[in-house]
Amino acid sequence: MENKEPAGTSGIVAKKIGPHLLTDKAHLVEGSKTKNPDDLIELAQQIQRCDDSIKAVASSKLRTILEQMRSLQKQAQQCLEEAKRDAELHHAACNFKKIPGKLYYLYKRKSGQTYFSMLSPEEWGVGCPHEFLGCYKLEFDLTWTLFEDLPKREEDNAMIEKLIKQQFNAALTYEPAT
Amino acid sequence: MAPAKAQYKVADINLAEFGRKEIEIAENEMPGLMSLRRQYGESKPLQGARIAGCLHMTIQTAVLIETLQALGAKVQWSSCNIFSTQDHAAAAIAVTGTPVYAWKGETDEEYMWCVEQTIMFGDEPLNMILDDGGDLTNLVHEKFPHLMDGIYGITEETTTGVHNLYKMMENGTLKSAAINVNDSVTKSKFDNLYGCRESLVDGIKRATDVMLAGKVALVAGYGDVGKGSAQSLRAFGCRVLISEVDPINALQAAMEGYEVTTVEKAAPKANIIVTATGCTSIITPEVFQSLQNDTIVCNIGHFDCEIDVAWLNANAVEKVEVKPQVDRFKLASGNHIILLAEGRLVNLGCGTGHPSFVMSNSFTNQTIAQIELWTNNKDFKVYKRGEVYMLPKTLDEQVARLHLDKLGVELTTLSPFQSKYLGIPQKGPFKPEYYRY
Repeated sequence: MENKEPAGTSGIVAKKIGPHLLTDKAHLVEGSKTKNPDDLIELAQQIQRCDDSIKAVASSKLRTILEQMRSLQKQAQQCLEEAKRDAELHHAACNFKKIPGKLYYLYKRKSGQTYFSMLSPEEWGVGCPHEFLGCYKLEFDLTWTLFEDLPKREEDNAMIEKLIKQQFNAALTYEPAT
Repeated sequence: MAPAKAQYKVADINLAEFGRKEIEIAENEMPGLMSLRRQYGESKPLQGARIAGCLHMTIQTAVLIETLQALGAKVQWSSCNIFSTQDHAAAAIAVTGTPVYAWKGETDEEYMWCVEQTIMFGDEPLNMILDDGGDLTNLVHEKFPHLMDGIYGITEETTTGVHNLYKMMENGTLKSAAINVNDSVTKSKFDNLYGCRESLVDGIKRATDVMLAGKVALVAGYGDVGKGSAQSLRAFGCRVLISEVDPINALQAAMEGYEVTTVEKAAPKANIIVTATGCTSIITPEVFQSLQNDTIVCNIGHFDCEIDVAWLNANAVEKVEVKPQVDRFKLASGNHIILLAEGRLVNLGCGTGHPSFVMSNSFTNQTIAQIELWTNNKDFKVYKRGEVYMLPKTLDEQVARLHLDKLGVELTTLSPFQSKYLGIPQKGPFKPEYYRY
């Protein structure tokens, strides 16, 4: 079915509420009589305060969500970039079988081909034949960690291990109440 | 200051335990080396020798290395081929504290780096060379000529390296004494022949699982390696064609019942092509283009110049790595070529090289040659600088003798009467130097 509505006009139209229309929003229960004309204004002001407060609360909650969204977006991006980098590293030329847990050194030949070597630039010394791009550790999940990021990764690993241990201990050291 | 040299460089040190198990089995299959350990384990004739070795870092070589050490030598090792290292063998040797620089799948640059690491023993340079193919010999001559004065001898394992030594001898560029181990009868007539007879087909089978029976195989070159290769292919039921440049070898092949023809004529008929010439430019671009679809092409000669792999890489429209050391190229014609071990030694690249027993013959010669040059030659009187020698016949016979018991061989002894009749000592040597076996 075709949508006959002209573009740009959704069903919902935002209503602008100016201060002079304040009392338009306040209504007494049908059938009740106005005792005091100020009652309606006070009611209107009260509603306004509630509106402001709700808006503030919503805004505050939304801000937190927005921050989380930004952070998740950043993590997602980082995750994609790491996956791309890991894939690229796995596709670098290599004549030997790579062993998880070991450090490998990435070089670039004059032809543009990148390849992994077991030899560090220090081991090559002055005879290093190709441009050194970086040192990576092949992790047991077959992802790569840049040598410079190793201390942080190891710190994280230690933390995770600690958490797992605590969890296990909590589960395993149940002592019945005496 | 240059950084300290790595203690060793191997693919995976955790393979050491596996390597050690295989070394123990290999020791039982290498009676020649083990008897040298028993004979010289106490007197340690190689005490003081600093041997740099450049030879396929396999399980069998590990037994050689530990024999040299048992005889008192300090040893440092690299492999003489970028694909031939058995990583578990290298790891097993590395954990014993022996500096070894070798892994399967080195680049050409890494290969030379590995060879170079074996030259300095701490502050002291090598004083003996044990080589296979001549790369270490050439490296020291060209890049470290000042060390040549301190080198008491070179022992060379293979045909190609021996050619190199004789060339250097003729040109006057050989700066040490050398022993040609390759041409000991118990080396080339055994390792090259019986070794290849088992390891060629093993390499082809591991790489391709091809059915050999009924196929046409071309073996280029009918030397010892070609003879072993042709014999095993025929034993599996291949129809074997041979190409040769030497009329004597060509006639030998013909007398064995092989069709002898040229590579150009044989190649289009062949399903499997094996080069074993030790020469260059055997399988040329023209030959590649004349082949049937999915012809298997491999080399069992020492160097990778027999097959024009560079042309394939540059001109194939597609190259698919089926698995390491097995590449399938598609040519412009649509035909495919299956190339094994990138044109390098197929038995070591796609298999595990020669079996231990036959290598015991070769390596017992190597060890005896090292003892000769180290103990009998401090003044270069017996073995002169710039000359290439062979081991005396008695030692060659001794190497064979050491391998008989294992096979249950009962040797006949000449009676004094027979000995006198023949004019041959009861304990040998039994044959004159010119005898060809």
